[in-house]
Amino acid sequence: MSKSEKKIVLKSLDNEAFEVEKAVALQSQTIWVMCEDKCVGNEIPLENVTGQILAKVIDYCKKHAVVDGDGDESSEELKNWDTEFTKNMDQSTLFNMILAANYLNIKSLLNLTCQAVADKTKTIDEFHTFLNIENNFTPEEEAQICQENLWAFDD
Amino acid sequence: MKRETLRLLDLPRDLVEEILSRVPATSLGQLQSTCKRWKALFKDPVFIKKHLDKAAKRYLVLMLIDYRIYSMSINLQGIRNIVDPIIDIKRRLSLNDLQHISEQDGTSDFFHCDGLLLRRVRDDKLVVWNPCHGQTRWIQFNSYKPLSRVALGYENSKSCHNYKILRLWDNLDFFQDNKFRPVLRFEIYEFSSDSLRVLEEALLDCLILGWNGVSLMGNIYWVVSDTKDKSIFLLSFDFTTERLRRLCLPFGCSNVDTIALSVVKDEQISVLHQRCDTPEIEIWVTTNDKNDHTKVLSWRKFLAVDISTHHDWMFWCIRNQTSREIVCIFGEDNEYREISSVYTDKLRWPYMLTYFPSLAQIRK
Repeated sequence: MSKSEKKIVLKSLDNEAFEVEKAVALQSQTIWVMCEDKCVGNEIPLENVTGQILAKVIDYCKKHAVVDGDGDESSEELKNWDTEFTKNMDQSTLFNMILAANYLNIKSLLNLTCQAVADKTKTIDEFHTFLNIENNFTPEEEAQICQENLWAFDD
Repeated sequence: MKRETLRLLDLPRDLVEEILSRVPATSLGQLQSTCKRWKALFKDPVFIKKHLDKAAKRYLVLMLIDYRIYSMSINLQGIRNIVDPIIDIKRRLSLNDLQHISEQDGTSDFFHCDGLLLRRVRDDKLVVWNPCHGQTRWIQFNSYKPLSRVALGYENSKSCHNYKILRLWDNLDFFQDNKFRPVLRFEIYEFSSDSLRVLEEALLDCLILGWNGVSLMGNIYWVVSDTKDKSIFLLSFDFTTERLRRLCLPFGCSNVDTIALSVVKDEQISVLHQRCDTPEIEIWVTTNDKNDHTKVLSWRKFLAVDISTHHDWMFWCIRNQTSREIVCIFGEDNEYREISSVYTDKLRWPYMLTYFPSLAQIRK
């Protein structure tokens, strides 16, 4: 196989092009199906993902790819890398990563990012601010529910 | 994909559920009072099952003191630096319906399965309660069995957990050879029909040891003694197959020893054993193998402590040499601490259990 056949170009919504190893890109089931079925050339357009998010997704896939038997990262190291990877992402980036992971069908990345959002919301106030949830109960209804649910746990 | 700030509710419904199924039940319990959509979602059996499978298991320690249930706060942060852990009553689990249970009415039957607490109030009046979202279900058995024990488990179906109660009791029956022999009998309570039915299988010459059994993955485990061959074994009951099985304990023991069961991380059984004639306590934990745990268990010794030299005690209540109840915390690497307890009842020892909050509920 020539070198060029091992590479693939991913093009984002905003026309940013990323050349990556095929083994890296094929972690996405969506790209895998595109390569198998559609007989697309070396360039794959991803119309749902911006360049900024795609760059991050590629970082993740590079880290998790087993390229030419080079996958000797210990699982402990990978776990720490994953934690660092999502640690400083803001809420909007995380949601965009979730949408991208879902669209590209990368199960492990979807798990990681959903877990990261869940971990960042421990208290009810964090829920309101982090998840931007609006309370749509009337004060009377809320009081009624609180009454029904007398024991709320402290964290 | 839009560049502007995304909100949770902008995500497709399945992704929102994917996220929320990973949020601890205690937080979701609070969230239900803020949004109608959540309140409905948290009652959806499919979501409840997904949440049970995906959310991290965070435990709380509950303690039964004077027939009342309290949640405990346990601070272990300093334990590595030989700073004693701080253990304290955080709050009493108060539910309107349960508040008027007086001490005379209370019993010490207290059983945990899947975030649901089963409590016997008096005789054969029971309540199943999820403190996370407050659902209660009262049950009145139509027949009273003295000295019976009750346990909550479930039949495992793909889509949801079908909860059931097992009532077990031992009785001395008179046989044709003019002898009384103990028989251990079982009944299954179904929530759907609100009725008890007798399990055909009974164990001859068997007695229940200890007061509490445990539930793991919906199956129930009790310590039972065989009066004929003097063996002590773990009895498992599988609600799906409705089969009883005898499982071996990892140590030799007699029916005067102290043997107590507990559950670790909601995935392993642990058993504490103290022989009546030695000051040594052993704790054994099942290994995470792929075996069907209702049929075979493999064990590893977690630790062994000589309590005559260490007054150090995973969360158990034990009575020490000066007959004071103490709370003991055991850790890996033979770490253990003893904490004096001030909240003791004169008649009964406080009973502790590790509780894993969930959204589980009994379907109406």
